[in-house]
Amino acid sequence: DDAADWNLAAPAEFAKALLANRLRLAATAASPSSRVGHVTPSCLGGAAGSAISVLGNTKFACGVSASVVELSAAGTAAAAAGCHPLLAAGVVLNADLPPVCSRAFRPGPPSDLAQALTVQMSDALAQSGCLDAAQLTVGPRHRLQLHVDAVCLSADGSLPDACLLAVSAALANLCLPRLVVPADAGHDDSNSGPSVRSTAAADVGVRRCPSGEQFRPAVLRPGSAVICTSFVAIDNDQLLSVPDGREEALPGAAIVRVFTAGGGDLAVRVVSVQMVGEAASELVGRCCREAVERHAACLAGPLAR
Amino acid sequence: MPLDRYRNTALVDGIDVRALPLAGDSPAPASQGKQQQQQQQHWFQRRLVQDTVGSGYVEFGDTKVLCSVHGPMEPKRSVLTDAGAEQSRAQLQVYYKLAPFASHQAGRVSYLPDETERRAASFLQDTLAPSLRLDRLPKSRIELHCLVLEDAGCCLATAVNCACLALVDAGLEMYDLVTAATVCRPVGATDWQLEVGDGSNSGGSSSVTLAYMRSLRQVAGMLVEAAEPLQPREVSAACRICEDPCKMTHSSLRQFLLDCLPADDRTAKIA
Repeated sequence: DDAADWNLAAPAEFAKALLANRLRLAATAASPSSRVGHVTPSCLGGAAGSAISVLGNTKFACGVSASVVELSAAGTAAAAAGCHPLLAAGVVLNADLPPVCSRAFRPGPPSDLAQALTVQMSDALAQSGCLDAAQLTVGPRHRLQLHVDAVCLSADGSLPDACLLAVSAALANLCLPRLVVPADAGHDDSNSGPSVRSTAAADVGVRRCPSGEQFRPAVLRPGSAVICTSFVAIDNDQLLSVPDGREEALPGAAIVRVFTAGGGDLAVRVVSVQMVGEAASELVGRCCREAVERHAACLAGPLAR
Repeated sequence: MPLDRYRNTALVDGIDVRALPLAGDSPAPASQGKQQQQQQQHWFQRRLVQDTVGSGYVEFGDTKVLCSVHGPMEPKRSVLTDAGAEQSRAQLQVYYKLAPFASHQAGRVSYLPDETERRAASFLQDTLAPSLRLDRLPKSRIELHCLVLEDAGCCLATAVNCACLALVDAGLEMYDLVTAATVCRPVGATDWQLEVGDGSNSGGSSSVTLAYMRSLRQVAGMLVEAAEPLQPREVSAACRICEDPCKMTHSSLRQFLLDCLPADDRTAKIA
C-alpha cells in the first residue's frame, strides 16, 4: 500500500528508486518469454489473414483484406504519384490507435502517434527485403492488392513491437480463394503465380474457383519476419528492453527502436535504428545485438510456422 | 464518401476477392448448413485494456466485441442544454466502430464512421443511460468506446452485453444489468429466428433488437430494422422471443461477475 501511494504521489521518483535497485514493474520484465510476446493467428474470420499479438499489456489485432486490381491502371497510378514503395508493391498498410485502447487517444482523425506508427511500419516493411511482390500477381493483367489494418486493443508501451508482430503473423497466415483468370489467346500463363488458366473463352474478368479451393500466397518469404525491438536507455547505463508505457515516459530516458528483418533463407539483419534522445554508441550496438537475438527467439516462438 | 487524408489509401480501387463471381456457370455453393437452433453461449472477459477505468470483451459465436470506459471526466459545455440539468447528472457518450476487417460479407469497412455505426451508437446510448445512476456523478462525463473486431451476426446485441460488462468493470452504479438479443426474419420467411453469431442467418429483411433489464422486468431499448412496415403484433412476437435469451444472458453475466469477485466477497449478491 505504501508503495502504491508513493507511486501515485511521485511516479518519477518511485520509478528511479526501483531502477536503482534493478527492479522493473513492467509486465514484460517477468520472464524472457514475456519479452518475446504471444501471437494468436487466424483468429478473425472477417479477414483473409489475421493475428492478435500480446506483448505485456500491449495488444494489437491485425487483419489483411485482398482485392483485385488491373495491372495497367495500378502501374500508371504508381508511376505518376511517386508513391511509397510499399504502396507501389500493392500493400496498403495502416496502423490505428482508437480511443478504446487508451485514454490518450480521442475519436476523430488519427493522432500524430498513429500516423508516425503507420510510417514506421511501412518503411520497415518496404526496406526489409522480405516482401515478395511477385506472389501478388494474378495473370498477365491483374494483381492482388492487400489492405493491412493493425488496430491497437490496449496501449501500454512498445507499440511498434506489438504492431509488427501482429502484421508479420497476419501476412504469414494469408489464405485466399483460388482465382481463375481469362485465357488470353497466345499468351503463356505458366509463370503467372497462383492463378489457374481458364478454358472458357467468354470470361472478361477474374473469377473465383468454383471448387472453393484456397491458396496461401507467400507475401512474406517463407520463414521470415519483420520485427521491432524497443529499448529505454537510462543514464547511458541501464538498458530496459521492451518497456511499458511508464518506462517509456521516464524523464531523461532515451528510446531506441531497432527494426530487424530476416529468417528462413534470409539472414537476420538490422534494417533501421530510430532513436529519441541521446544514447552512447556502445549502448546502441548492444541494442542491435539484443534485437537480433530477440528476432531469432520470435521466429522460433510465436512466429514459428 | 469523404476523402481520408490522414491514412494510406489504395492507388486504385479494386474488387474484394470475396465479391468476385464464381468461374463458369456454376451456382454459388450452398451454405454449410450450420445448425443455428443450438443455443450459443457468451464468453466474457474483463480488464483487457490497461489504460482505462473499465473494459470488457465478449464473444458470441464468431462475433467479437471490445468495450472500454473512460471517465468520469470534465463535461462538455453545450449552449443548447439547460445548465442546471447539465450539471445535475453525468453525460454518457457512446462511440461505436467496426474494425476495417470486421465484416464477414464482402467489403472492407471504412475508417470513417457511417450512418449504421452512428445509429448503433445512438441505440447504445439510449439503452444504457437509463440503467446507470448518472445522478451520482454530477458535473462529469463518461465515455464508452465500443470496437467490433468481428461481425458474424447479432453484433448490436453483443455490443450491448459487452458495454454493460465494461460499465460494471468500471465500478459505475447501475440499477440493473442490461442484456440484449436479436431476432431476424429472412427474406420470404414468416417466423422470427434468433440471430446467432456464426453468420448463418444474419442480414435478413427484418430484425428486432431488444435490450432488457431482468431484475426490474423492464425493456431498456428496442431497435426495429425492416424493409417494410411491421404490424404491432409482429413486433410483440419478436420481443417475446427475445425475452428468454436476454434472461439467460443476464444469468451468465451475473455468474461471471460473481466469479470475478474475491472469495470472501462472493456472498454479496449483485442486483
